[in-house]
Amino acid sequence: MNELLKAALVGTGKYPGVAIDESAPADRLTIADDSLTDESQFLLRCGRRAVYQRAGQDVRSVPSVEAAPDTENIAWSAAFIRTMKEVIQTEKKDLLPEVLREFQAHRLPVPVILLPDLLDLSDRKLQSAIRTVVGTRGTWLSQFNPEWSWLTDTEPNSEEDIPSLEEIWNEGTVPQRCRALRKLREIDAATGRQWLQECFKKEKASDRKDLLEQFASGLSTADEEFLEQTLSDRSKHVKVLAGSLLSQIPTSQCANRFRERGQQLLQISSTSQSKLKLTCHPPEELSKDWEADGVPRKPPGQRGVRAYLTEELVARVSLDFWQEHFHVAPVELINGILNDDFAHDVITGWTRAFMKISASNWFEPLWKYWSAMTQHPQQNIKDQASNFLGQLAEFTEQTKLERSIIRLIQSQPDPANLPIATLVSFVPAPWSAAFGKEYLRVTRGLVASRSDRAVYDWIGSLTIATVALPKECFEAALSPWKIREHGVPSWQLANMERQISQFTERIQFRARFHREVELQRNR
Amino acid sequence: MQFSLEHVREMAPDEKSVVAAQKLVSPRLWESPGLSESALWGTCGGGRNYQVRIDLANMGYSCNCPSRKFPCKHVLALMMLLATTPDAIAITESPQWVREWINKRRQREQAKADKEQQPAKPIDAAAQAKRVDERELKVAEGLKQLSVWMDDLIRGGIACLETKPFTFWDDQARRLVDSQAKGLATQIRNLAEIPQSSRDWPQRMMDELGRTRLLMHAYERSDNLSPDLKADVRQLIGWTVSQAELVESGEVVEDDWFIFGQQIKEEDRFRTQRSWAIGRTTQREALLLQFAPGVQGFPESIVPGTIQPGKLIFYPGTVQQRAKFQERTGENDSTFKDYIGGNSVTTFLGEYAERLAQNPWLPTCSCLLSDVTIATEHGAWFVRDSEGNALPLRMQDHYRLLSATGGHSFQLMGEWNGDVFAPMSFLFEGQFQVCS
Repeated sequence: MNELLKAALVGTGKYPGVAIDESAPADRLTIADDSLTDESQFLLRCGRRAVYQRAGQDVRSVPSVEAAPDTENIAWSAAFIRTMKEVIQTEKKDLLPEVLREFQAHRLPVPVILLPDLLDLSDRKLQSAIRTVVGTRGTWLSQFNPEWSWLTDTEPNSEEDIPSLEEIWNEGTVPQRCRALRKLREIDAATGRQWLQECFKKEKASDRKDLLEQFASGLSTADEEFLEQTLSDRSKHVKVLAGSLLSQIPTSQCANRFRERGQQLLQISSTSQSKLKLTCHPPEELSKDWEADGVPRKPPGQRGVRAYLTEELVARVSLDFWQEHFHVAPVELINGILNDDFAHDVITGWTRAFMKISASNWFEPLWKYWSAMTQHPQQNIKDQASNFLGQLAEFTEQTKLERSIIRLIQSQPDPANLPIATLVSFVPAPWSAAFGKEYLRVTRGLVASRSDRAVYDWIGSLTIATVALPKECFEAALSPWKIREHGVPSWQLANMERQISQFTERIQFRARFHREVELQRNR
Repeated sequence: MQFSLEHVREMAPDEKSVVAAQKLVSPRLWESPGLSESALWGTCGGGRNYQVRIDLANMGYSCNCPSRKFPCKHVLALMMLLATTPDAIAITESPQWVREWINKRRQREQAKADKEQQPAKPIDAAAQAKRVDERELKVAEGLKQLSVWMDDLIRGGIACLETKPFTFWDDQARRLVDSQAKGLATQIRNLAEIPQSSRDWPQRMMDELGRTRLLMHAYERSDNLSPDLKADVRQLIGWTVSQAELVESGEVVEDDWFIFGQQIKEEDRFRTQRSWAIGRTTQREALLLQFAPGVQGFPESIVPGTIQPGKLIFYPGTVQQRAKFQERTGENDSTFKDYIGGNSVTTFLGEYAERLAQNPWLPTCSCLLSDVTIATEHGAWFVRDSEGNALPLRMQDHYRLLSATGGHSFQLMGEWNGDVFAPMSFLFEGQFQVCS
């Protein structure tokens, strides 16, 4: 540090009289003016030196970076770059998956100027799509920013990657360790079990539960012994989880015990006109052997013990068992229990069991049941139905799901009563053209004929349609919308108009993007 | 006059206006749009019938809609319509409502020009001198107070500035505004940003304080300075150059001017637009400053990436940078390549030193470098020429530049403030792009 800076830092009051530095030519220029204070003289000296140094600054020499491999240079139009920037940087980010899909489908590299913005995105789902469109330029660029290393990081997927997983297992945070354990269970389930067994008792209760949850991956008979031990864990959450995992191993003793209890729970009451009728006989209270198998002691909230035990037991019995036991199809089982007092709890249990090991023939009857429940007068049942429908949707193909929703809409006397925004949100984007057109047809029909609260709620689903409608539906979406005229303008009507205007604006934006891509492809 | 969507977009006050205007770019929404030699006009339908007029001579515009954005979406939409669907606009004589507006504008411009060239009222020399004397006294008083404040500051040491609030600087700046030394006030406010901004902030603070003190010293002895340096010093302190003075003493340079960069800075109640231009024949740099209150548009349309033939009048000073268009003339036939010289880092720094020798307080200057690449060393980023010499790069656009050029050489245009190079635009494989 030079003397001048030292004096400036501590103050000339404490560090007066800095000697002239002969090596600094600007210091030799003096201003002979007695009216100037020592401080002013000091500052003028600083100023002279600053100007001198700025004018004569040394030229710095730096090494070059290795240039990127030559790539096909596409001259994107400035308007297209702006459109892309709008998608990446503004509230239109929800359109990004579609944009990336288009680039991927047409094997086009994204405009290079946008690569830094794309690489900055931290959404894991988007990152996997981004990987496919950044090209060699993106890979080259990622070396310059450690935060972009995700682009070249590879997912561990073979035994060779076990040492790196072990490092994370030993040194990582709990979420990182969970991810490492899940990955290891996919590669080598036995080693994963061994790692957890070695440290299980030393972990905190909440961490034990989080780590044990990873056993759902690669679950097999070999895990039974360890899981049986964890049934006696101090934490009730670990016990419940262990019981649930054991029930998913068909050959386990625990699963067998649940099946025996299931036989006693559901019994045939009568068969009239070849229709099965079932009755449910739940226990009055939780017995110790149920508790030992990981059934939680207390029902949540105000729920009755019998209803609660029914659901918990049915959820722990494999769906195949019921079909084999009663020799009927799932739809008959559901119809058979419908008139029982505990029907809702049994079907809830079956739905939960479906989520563990999906059985395709159960989808349709369960979907139908929960769709009907969306019209239930109790809000908590409606919410439960929406929740289960969303979960069920994940287990079926998109075309089947779209067909189910269309059938549901068509079967309703008033489709506006359906929670359409919830239902269409389960269909992955992009929708099929048929589904999109049907959705638009019904929506236009409702908007043109009514303006009540139910239609207003339906219009809320346009936000989802904005992103999910396929390009084949753009023309239908952009043709003028007819809104039922009201005598007096209401806030609902104004809001509907606003939502439709936002919808068409977004669709226009998407159409513009697709036109640009098409133009680029044809160049 | 030719419009492109790019130019219209650059004129827009914000992106929302562009989006809103795009919705109106349809011939069916416009009633009898027309184009003549002097104007573009149209009535935007939809029940309201807003009358839009655009003066093609200087891109002035008018619309009777109640929008507080300038230009409004109707003006932008009409320009876009001309750019995208010229056939939808009839080439015809201006209607009366447009002619009247154009005539009024011409009259006003003429009156303004007359006023600028020949003072309408006889100047009361005594009163003017009195006003100048009074201001000189006020400025001198302000400088005296500032000198005492700076003496106290350096006596106590700059280490304690880390803990000083913004008001420490702002109070002093306000006093200088009261003393009619607005230029100095801005410099003092800028000092507030230095503490803790980097590891070497004490050195930067010491340098800036020193330079400011040197400026005050020069002003106090401005009678000993050359007229040009005196003009520089007075402008830096806060004295403005009137239109009459500019016309009287400003140098007029005619050339094709390439607008290679632009920055818009939001201040308290107004926005400042800084546009850098370079002349094709003269290779002179020009800094075009415009100010706009609130969300209003800037008086003149200056679009980065365009070439504007015309006459610039330069403000007096040693290193003549600041200028304004005195006259815009017809079309040009030049390309970007005609403008960008082949400066290397060493040559540029040599020229910069010469400029500093003329004006030691030169805040910034334009910098056009050819055959450069983006380079990095120890986490810092540089623009590097073919000889391996480099200038530190502002940590904002380096990844975008690196991505766009792929480490290959290109031509870069920007602003140098003595410490850091701020990129504004670049030319790579024949494509000109503005840095965002």
